[in-house]
Amino acid sequence: MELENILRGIKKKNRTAQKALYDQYSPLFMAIGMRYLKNIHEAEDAVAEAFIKIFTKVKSFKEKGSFEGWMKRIVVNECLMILRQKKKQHLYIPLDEVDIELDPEVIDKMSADEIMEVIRELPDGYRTVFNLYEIEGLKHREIAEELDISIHTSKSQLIMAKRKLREILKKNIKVKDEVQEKSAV
Amino acid sequence: MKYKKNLQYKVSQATAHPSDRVWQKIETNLDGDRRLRRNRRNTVVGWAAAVFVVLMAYQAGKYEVNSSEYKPQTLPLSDHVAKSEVTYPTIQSYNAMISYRKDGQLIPNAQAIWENPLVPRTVDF
Repeated sequence: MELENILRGIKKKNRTAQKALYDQYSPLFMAIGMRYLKNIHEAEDAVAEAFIKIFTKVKSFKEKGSFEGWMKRIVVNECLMILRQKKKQHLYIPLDEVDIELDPEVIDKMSADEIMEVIRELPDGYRTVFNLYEIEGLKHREIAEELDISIHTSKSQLIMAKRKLREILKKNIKVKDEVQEKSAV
Repeated sequence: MKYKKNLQYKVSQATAHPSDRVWQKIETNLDGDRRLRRNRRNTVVGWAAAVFVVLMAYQAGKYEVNSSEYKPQTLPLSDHVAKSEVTYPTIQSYNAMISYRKDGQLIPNAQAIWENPLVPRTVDF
């Protein structure tokens, strides 16, 4: 079923259209959920809540932007809501470093699943800011508003996230090299 | 910047399949929501129907009271007597009719018998 027909169907609360939308987008949304939340059950809860919101609030979608973008925003918001409910304290780290760039070649060589795994290894605070800044493309001001933290904290969290990611990537590369050496011997 | 776009592209390719319980949870929630809306709609329709019936009854009552056919009026006494002299068979005559039946049929001369029943002769001392 085409997205336009699905959209028309879910506006009429048609169960077949709702299921079609779920089948089409749940794998993508589940990946977003797992990128923000470490626990799979929490990610599933976020996806379920997001779909319920999509189905019940679809009439508020103004059809100005893309429907997929609108749905993704709902999924991200649900993930952030769960993170807020957990009331995990974001670590305050002083901003004393310049921006860290991740090695583009390393990213190039990695598969989507490998990148997902590496991101999921990050602590909650770092992961959330990294996801919002690097993947969703939000600005530090927007992240600060969304997470109710200062812009300074958002920036420092991102730097620490990148530093941590670099460490994880280095470790992974080392392990890969060792495995390759062993297999060559 | 190149790495950022690359990263975004790679991440957008990632998929993960949720378990069956996710759709079950969504369906249960949507069904509950639908039931709640239906109950709310039924309540509104029920109240509207009740108000309509009450209004109709009130209007009908008003019509009856105002109707010329049922206007209370004082009749002359002679007319009143004439109207009240309608005779109906009494329960006694009906019972008598029953006792003069045989196999569901009135016996011959039944009416004459119940109007002039046989009375035992009294003996004068």
